[in-house]
Amino acid sequence: MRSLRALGLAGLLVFAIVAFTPLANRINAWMAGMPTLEASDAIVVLGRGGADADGVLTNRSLRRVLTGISLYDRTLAPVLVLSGSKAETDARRILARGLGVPDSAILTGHPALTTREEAAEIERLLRPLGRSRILLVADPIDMPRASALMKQAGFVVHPAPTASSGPSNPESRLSLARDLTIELCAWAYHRLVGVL
Amino acid sequence: MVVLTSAVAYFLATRALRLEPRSLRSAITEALELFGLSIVFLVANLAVGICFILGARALSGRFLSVYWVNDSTLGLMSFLQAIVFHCWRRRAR
Repeated sequence: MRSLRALGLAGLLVFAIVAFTPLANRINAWMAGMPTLEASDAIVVLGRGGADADGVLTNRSLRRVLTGISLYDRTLAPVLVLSGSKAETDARRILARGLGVPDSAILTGHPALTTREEAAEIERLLRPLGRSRILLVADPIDMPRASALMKQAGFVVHPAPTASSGPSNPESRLSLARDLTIELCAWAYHRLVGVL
Repeated sequence: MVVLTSAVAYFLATRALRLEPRSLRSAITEALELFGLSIVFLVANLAVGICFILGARALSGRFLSVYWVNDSTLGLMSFLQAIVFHCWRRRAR
């Protein structure tokens, strides 16, 4: 049972480091990279978590769309592309309209459930319009993979992460660490199957 | 908070319950085993969940998100599994 003890000790140490040190925040900021808020052809807000049955967006989805709307308000691009599931894009469109974005400036494509599907759908949507420079709105941890997939789809990507420093309380840091682990697994999977 | 309640628990255990301070070390070791066992159950649960989703995806042709296994209750359930297994093993000794 020595191996179980060692595993328990290792788990406890990882827990303490993740919850009580800013390690997860540092990784979060590193993955976000430097925002490049330059004038672009479109603001692309990727989906995240969808919306519940009442049409209420998840925390992350809401943060993303609010960042996108704020970039639109700063006239950094004339078009706001809202991606994700149907429920998510519907809820986001209502919110964007409510916050003053004209309907003519909002673009939504077919529902997309993965980042790869979103990249393909956004390419289908923007390519005929000749819009290739995009401000990409995503969470810091999702930015490397999302940015790489968008570049593969032929876009010039200007990253606009929703935040960079991350949470400051232990519980939220643990949640961030879990998301980081998932994202790193997703990155590894994409590398393994040769998509990235 | 945790340090304070641990100190109170130590005081009560040694005074009221007359527990041996020397046995605290072996109790901590056993707790580490229990925590390690929880991690084993968690990894097993995640592996089973992901395999199930990927299998269902392949069989049905429909997209099922791996995010379904991303739920904190799985950690709690794994801990409960570990407690039951640990107690069971202790009784068998």
